[in-house]
Amino acid sequence: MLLQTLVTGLAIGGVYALMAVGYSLVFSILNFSNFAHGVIIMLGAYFGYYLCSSLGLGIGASMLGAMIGTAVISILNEKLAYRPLRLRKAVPLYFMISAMGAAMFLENMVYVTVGSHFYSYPSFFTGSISIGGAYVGLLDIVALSISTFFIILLTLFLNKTMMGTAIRAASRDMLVASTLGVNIDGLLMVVFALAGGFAGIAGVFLGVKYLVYPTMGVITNKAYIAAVIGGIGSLPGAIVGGLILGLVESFVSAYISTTLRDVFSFSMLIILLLVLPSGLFGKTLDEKL
Amino acid sequence: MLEIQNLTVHYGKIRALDSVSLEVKPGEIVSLVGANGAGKTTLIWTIFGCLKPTSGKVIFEGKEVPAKPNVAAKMGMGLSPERRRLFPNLTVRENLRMGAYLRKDKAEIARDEENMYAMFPVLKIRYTQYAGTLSGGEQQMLAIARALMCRPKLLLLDEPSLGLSPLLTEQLFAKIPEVNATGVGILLSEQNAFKALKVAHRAYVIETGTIAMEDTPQNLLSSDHVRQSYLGFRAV
Ligand SMILES: Nc1ncnc2c1ncn2[C@@H]1O[C@H](COP(=O)(O)OP(=O)(O)OP(=O)(O)O)[C@@H](O)[C@H]1O
Ligand SMILES: [Mg+2]
Repeated sequence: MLLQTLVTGLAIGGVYALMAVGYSLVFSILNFSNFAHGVIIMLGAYFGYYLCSSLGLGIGASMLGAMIGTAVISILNEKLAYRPLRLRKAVPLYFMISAMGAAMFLENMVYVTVGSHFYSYPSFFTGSISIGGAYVGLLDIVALSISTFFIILLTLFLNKTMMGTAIRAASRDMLVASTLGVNIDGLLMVVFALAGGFAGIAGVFLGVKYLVYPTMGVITNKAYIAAVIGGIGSLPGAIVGGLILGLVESFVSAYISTTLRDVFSFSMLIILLLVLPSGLFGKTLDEKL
Repeated sequence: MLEIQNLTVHYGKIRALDSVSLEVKPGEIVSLVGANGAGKTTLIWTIFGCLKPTSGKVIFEGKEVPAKPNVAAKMGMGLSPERRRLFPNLTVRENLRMGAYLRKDKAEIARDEENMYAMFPVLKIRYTQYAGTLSGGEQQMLAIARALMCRPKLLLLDEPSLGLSPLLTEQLFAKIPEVNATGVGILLSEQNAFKALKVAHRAYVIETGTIAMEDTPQNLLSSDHVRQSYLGFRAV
């Protein structure tokens, strides 16, 4: 029971982390909460669903396809909804409003085109394996491994490549980064492609685990909580915040009550923000991103 | 190499520069001297394409510089901005590497990095440290080194002495001819008029957004107006 709860918590935490990373990446550069991100995760779930159930692709190929699809949507989202504001040097509030507009637009596009039905993915990773007497769901193990893999990849990218270094630099001073030759439009394309790609993976996991429906983006509010708990704008923060939230939920569900789960998450957020207003990793000089 | 023609710049309705013309010839050190709020920083940012002028042109090596700083960098300009503006979340080394962002020649970049450490030895000691943890003087050296890492043909220095002790200012100003000797043109904006004039080949005096004087440092240093307004001498 303990081990199973732990793995389930880490697995859902890993998926929260994947989503939270997208919020944090965008926040670190443009200083606003990209509320269109949740809808892009929802679209990822749809893309994956159509690829595997209509086209009959395997889960790996479907996930890759979903990643590409959401990366493209995320880039378009930036170009159409945020870039014009950027060029006019608008304050973050306007970006946030534009993000909400983009979210409503995309959500309604789903209603208009595919309707409000609930879909379920074909079964993947339904088995469980026994570790030391405890049964651990295969899906949880796969989710945890894949999120870990992509988060490590992202960390290496941000810390070891020139483009990654430029993203970290621009997160502190976009203008000065551009005076060193960084093309900000190109850099934001990379950032939004990354956030979008991660949204695609997360969307597919959510779809496989739960169901696919237009308002499923609401689940991603929790990923936003995870990002805030960790300190929004911080990459380690997003990861740690995601894992903490996943573990808390899993343990509260298992040992206290499933219905109290969300009450716990939200209370935790409020208490944490009272104690540490900028989250666990927020604002420390060297660790934004 | 740099030619500025009738540049006028506004912040909203406020006019910060009024028809400014100025020139830097190849290999020259040109100083831009003026009081607080005269418009030096505005001019520097506009030259680099960070501010869009209301009218007038910035021409670098025969080509007009667009209002895109990354293009200005590509054309061969380097900037050490006012108040340094380092990336505090990056190490000293990463800041230097950001300076070489546009360059692909890995071996040359590594060599230039060593050159910077030779020119500013304290940076070598601190190269794994976050730039945000450096002292003011160390940060200023890093800001200049970062700008040099892009191998600029023209280096724009905005108030390099800001916040430095007299000793550090002295050391820093000693580096300017050293950099210039490697063939880099320099446009230096400074409130410390005496030092800026001493180091320059030519200088401009800027007053409330217009160029008030242009001359050799010797002539400016002996002009009554400059002596009274910028060097603190009283009229006799
Ligand atoms: N972002 C801004 N918005 C509005 N006005 C500005 C802005 N930046 C500068 N100004 C105004 O433009 C004028 C020129 O400022 P600038 O910073 O170019 O002066 P400076 O010569 O660099 O001064 P200092 O020696 O103090 O650095 C000043 O009157 C200043 O108040
Ligand atoms: Mg200034």
